[in-house]
Amino acid sequence: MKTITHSVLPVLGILFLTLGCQTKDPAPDTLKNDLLKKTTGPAVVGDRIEFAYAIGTTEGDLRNVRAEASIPGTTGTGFSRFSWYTNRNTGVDQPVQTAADTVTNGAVSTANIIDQATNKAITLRYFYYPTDEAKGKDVSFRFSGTSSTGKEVSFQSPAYRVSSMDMKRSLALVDGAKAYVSIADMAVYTKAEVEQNNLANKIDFVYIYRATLGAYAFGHALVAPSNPDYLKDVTLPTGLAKPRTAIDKRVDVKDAQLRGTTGFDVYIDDIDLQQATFPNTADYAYGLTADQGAFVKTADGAYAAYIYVNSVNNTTKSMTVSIKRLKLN
Amino acid sequence: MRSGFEPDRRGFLKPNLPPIHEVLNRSGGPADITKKYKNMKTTILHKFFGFLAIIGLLSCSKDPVDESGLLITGRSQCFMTFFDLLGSDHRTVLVSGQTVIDTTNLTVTAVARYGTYMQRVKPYCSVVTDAIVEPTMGIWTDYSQPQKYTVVSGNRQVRKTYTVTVTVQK
Repeated sequence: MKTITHSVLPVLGILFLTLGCQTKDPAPDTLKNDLLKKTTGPAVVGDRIEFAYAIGTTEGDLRNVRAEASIPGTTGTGFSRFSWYTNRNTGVDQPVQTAADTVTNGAVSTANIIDQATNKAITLRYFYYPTDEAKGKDVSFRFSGTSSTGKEVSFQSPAYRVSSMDMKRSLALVDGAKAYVSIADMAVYTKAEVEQNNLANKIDFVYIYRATLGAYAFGHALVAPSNPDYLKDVTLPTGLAKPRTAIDKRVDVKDAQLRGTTGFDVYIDDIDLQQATFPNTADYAYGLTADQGAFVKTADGAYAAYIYVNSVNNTTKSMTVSIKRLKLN
Repeated sequence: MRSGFEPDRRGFLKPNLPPIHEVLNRSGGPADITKKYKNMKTTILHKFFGFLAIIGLLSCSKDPVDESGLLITGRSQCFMTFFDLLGSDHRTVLVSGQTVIDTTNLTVTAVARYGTYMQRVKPYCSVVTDAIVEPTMGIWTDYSQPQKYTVVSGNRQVRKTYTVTVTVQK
């Protein structure tokens, strides 16, 4: 009896080992999808996150695609109707329409695939514009697509943190006119506007342009109202407070979102403004030119910001700036 | 007593050496010679390894370093060769060609460009080989008043204190 047991057990063991771990070859997926997040910078209100959603089938036709955001986006959120290919002769990416009926309702965006007989595999762009309500929160996306065979496939994205920063692009500053900048308002005012709207306590710095001061070059400058030297010849708005805004000049922080152009991969994120320190910092920055800027902290400590100089014009004595701002307290 | 040499049968002088068996008997025989040879071999080996050990010990001895871990060398030269001052944008604020380093009077004078915010600038300098500077440069410093820095020679025996004065164009 014992011998039989000893003989059977090894045989059973071998059978379990050889057969027990065998898996059946699954039927190959005929409908597949994948997702790529193209945007490398932070998700900031006022800018968009771009995804490339790819879907393809070897059975039947592609019917439609769908994306659902965990937090509804604002205007502009949804699928693009175009896929892109690179022209091999020119090296330039060119669009080709592959979808229609792109609709966004609340958190859900949909699109129907066109030319289904030939569009067996496509990549569509999906843009998400975060809202103010999404600031500081995580947002994720579920992409899905269906085919004419009734199959559905989906892809769940990771969660992405929406920045707590505010962003304002292309503020036009003019010396002697639109020269008074409020970080709290993310706006620029004239002297008359400051006086009429009782904004004397909200101005953090003044824009001036002086080609030279005395015998020396000075150029485009941002000067806090507290500065005793560089606003001597400026007639300030009546009752203008004199806060000492900390202004720390930089020449090598070319934020891609503030710059508004591709080809740069430098981004100011929440942590940069949270951890920026302003020990013994100046209350002015001068000699500013395009692509330069300054970290700024308001005198009351309420905001930290980066002022990026998009362009300057010596003739019109003007400067265009873009601002990223974070509320600190 | 035998003399040193004596004629052999052919009349040639030959050294008056004792017979080999006497030598062997006196020394304790072939076994004794082998023993002595082994002893000699052992002694040489011991000396050789002892020598290697001394070399090894010497090679492990650490070169002298200061409290910052910097090598203390034999150099006694002690002077500054270059000085620069950077603004918050990490660009020089000094007017080119205006910096004078006087190694006799131990002074550095420089001129900063008009508008420079002197309360927050970052100094840099070069010194002669192996020398160090105290206190450390490369940190944000208020240069609205002259600052003093001591150059210390490589052997840490010579100390020279420079006074750095930077004026702003006005």
